[in-house]
Amino acid sequence: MTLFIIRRLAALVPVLLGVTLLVFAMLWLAPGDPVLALLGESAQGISRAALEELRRAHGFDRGPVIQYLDYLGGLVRGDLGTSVRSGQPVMQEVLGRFPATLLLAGSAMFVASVLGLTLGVLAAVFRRTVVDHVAVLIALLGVSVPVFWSGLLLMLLFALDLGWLPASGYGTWKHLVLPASAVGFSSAAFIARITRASMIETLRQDYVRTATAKGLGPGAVRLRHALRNALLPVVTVVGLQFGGLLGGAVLTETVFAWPGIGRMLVDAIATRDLPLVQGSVLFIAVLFIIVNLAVDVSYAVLNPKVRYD
Amino acid sequence: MKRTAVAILVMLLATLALAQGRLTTAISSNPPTLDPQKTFNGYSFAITNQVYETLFRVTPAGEIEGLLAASWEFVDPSTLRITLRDGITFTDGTPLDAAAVKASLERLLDPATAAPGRFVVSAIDSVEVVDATTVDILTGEPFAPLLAHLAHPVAAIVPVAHGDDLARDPVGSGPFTFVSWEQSNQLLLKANADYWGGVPAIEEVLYRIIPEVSTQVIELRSGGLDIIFNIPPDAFEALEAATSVDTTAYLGWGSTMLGMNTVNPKLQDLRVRQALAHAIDKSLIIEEFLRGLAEPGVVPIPPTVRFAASDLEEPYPYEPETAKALLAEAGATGLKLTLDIYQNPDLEAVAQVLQFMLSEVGVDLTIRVQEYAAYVEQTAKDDIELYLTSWGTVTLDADYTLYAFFHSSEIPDNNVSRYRVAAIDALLEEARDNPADSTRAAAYRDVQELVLADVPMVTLYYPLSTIAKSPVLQGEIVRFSWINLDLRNATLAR
Repeated sequence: MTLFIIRRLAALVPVLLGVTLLVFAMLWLAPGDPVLALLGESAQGISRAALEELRRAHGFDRGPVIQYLDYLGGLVRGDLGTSVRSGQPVMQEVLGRFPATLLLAGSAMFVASVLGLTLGVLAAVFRRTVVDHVAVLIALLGVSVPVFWSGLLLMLLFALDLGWLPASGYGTWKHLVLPASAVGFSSAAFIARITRASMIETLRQDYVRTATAKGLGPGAVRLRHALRNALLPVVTVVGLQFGGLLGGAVLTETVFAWPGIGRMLVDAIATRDLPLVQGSVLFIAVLFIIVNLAVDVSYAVLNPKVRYD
Repeated sequence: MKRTAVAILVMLLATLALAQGRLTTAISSNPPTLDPQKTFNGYSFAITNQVYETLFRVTPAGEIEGLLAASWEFVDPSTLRITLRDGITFTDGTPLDAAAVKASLERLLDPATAAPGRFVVSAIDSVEVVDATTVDILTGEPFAPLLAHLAHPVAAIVPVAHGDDLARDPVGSGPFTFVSWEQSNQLLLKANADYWGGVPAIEEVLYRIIPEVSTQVIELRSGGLDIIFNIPPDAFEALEAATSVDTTAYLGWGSTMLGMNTVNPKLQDLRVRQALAHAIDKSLIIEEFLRGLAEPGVVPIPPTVRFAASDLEEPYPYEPETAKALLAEAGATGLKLTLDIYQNPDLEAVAQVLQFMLSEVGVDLTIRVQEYAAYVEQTAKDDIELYLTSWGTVTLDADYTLYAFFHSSEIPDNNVSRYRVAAIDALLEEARDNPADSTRAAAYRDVQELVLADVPMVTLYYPLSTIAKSPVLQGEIVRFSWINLDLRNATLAR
C-alpha cells in the first residue's frame, strides 16, 4: 500500500510538467498581446513605444522557450513567481483563496452526499413507484438547472422575500448556506443516479437474498449489507466531484460573490496573467491527483478484496 | 456590576453608531493592486481615488480645480509652477511637500516602475523643487493640457518610502484611509480623522466585490448595499420602477465611434464616407438597443469634455436616399466592407444594427469580432476598413481624444483612420503650445468642424452611465464616472 502511494505520488512529476507546458503553450498561442490583455480596453491612448517598454519590463520581449525555462527554473526552486497583474507572489494569491474554495467544496459535497444517497437509496428500494419517479425527477432537475439561475432564485426567495439569509458574500455560516445548497443540489443529482443504479444491482445479489432468508429486517439488509457494497462506484463519483469542486466552482463563485479559486483563475486567464494561471492550474492539478489517490485508497478500506501490494 | 452594564451599553451604542455611518457599495472585480502607479484598472482607481489625492481635479462643471495644488501658473509654456496647500501630511505623518511630489512623479515616470499609466504623464521631462511647498513641472515641449493629465488617478501623489507595500497597504492624504482587504471578498476604508478638507461624515466605506450585476441588484433591494454602478439597461429599467431605490443616468466621458480608414481605396472618396454617415440612424440604435441610455453623438467628444463643440449640428442626418445617391455618384455601388470590433456585448449589438442599416443602402458589411488585444493588432494593419470603438476621454480635456485620433503622428497607434491633414496637425499643436483657454477653445473648435466635414469617423453616441442607490445616501457626487465617487460631503440618514 505504501509503495503504491509513493509510486502514485512520483507520477505527479511528469503530469505536472505536462500541465505547465500545456498551459504555457495555450496562453502563448492565444491571439493578442499579453500586455494589452493585461491593460484591457482602458489602455486606449497608450503609444506603441510605451507598450514596448511595458513588454520589456514584464519580460514578454524574450522568446517563449526562454520564458518557459525561466518559469521552470523558478518552479524547481519552489518559486511560483509573482502575478503580473497584482505584483503579489502567486503562492500567496492561491493560498489566500483556498480556504473559501475548500469550505464551499466541503459543505457542498456534504449536502450532495446526504441528499444524493438518500434520493438514490429511496429510488432503488421503491423502484418503479412514485417515490422512484419523484427522486429521479429531482435528480434530473439538479443536473439540468444551471446554477446561475437556481442561485438567483434561491437569493430572491431567501434574501429578498424572506430576509433569512444574506444574498451573497463570504464570512459567516449564513453566507455559506445558499452557495453550498446550489452547488450541492447539482452534485447530488449525479450521486443519486449512481447510487440508484448501483443499489438496484446490489439488491439483486444472492447474499442480499441470503440475508433476508436469515430473517434480518429489511432496514438492516438494505443499509448494512446492500448499501455498503453499493457504495464503491458512488465513492468514485463523490471523489471526482469533490476534486472538480476544489478547482473552483466558477459560476457559483460569481453568482454568490464567493472569493474562491475559480473566479481568480478566470480573471487571470482573461488578463493573461501567466504566472497566476500556471500557479493556480498546478495547484488544482495537485489537489485533483491527491483526491483521486484518496479515492483509490478508500476502495481498499471499503472493499477488503481490493489490495494494492 | 452597574459599571459593566453601562460599559456594555456604551459599546453597543458605539457599534450601532458605527454601523449607521457605514456606506456599503459594490465593485465587480477584485482590484489588482492599490498602488495607483502600478495599474490602469478602474476597480483599483475607484479605491485609490478615496485614499490618495492628485494635484488637480475636474469639478462636476468640467472646470479644473486645485486639490493638493493651492495655486499654479505657467511660468513659460513648458514650465508649470505649483504651490501646494500648506501643512498637508500623508496619514503616516510624513509631510506631503514639494519633495514628496517630486519623488512621487519621478517614481511614476521611472521605467523601472513599469507603470501602465505612465503614458498619461509622459509629456513631463523633469520635476524640480523650488521651495518646501513650490514645485516646477517641466515638459520638454509646451503641453497645455498638463493640468488635466495631472488630475488623472495615475498621477496621485504617493509616499514613495512605502514602495511595494502600497499595493496592499495604501497610504495617502485623501478623505479615507485604508483599514483592511480580504481578497476577492471585501475592502474597508475609514474616514481620515485628520483630513485637511474636513473629516467626512461617512465613517466607513465597505466595498464588497460582487461580480454579478443581478446579485448586486438583489443586494441593493434587500438592503445589503447602499449604492451600485454601471447597471445594464434591462436591470436599470426594473430598478427605475422599484420604490425605495433612487436611479440616475448621467453623461460620462465616453463616446462610441465608427471609424473609417481614410487611405483605404474603398473609403478614400469623401462621398463614400458621407454616404455611410447618412445611412446610419443614430436614434434607432439608442432607443432600440441601448434603451435610451445614450445621447446621439456629433463631435467625437461628449459635452462633458472641456472644449467640446457640442453646439455643432449634425451635418449628416439619417437620409438613406441621399446615401444611395452619394454612393452612386462616387461609383461605389455594390460596396463590400469589413467592420472590425472587439468583444463587447454593446459593440457587437451596434455592429449588427449597422450591418442592417448599411445593407439598406446597398453596402454589404462583414463583421469581424476579436478579443481586444487581437483587435488592436488588426488596427495596425493598413488594409483595415471600418472599425468600431468605445473610447473614454479620461482626462476630460479635448486634447486627449482629438490629438490621439487626428494628429498624423498618432498613425497607426490611435489614429486608426490614418487621417493626415496638415491644418489639423497645426491646430492641435497650437492648442498644446498655448495654455490660454481661449486659444485652445478656438483651435479645438476648428479641428472639430474640419473633422465633421471630412468624416474620418462617425460619432454614433455618448453612452450614459447609471447609478442606483438607497435614498439614505445623500450628497454624494459622481464626477463623470463611478471611479470618481466624491463622498467628502455625503451623509447617511439611517
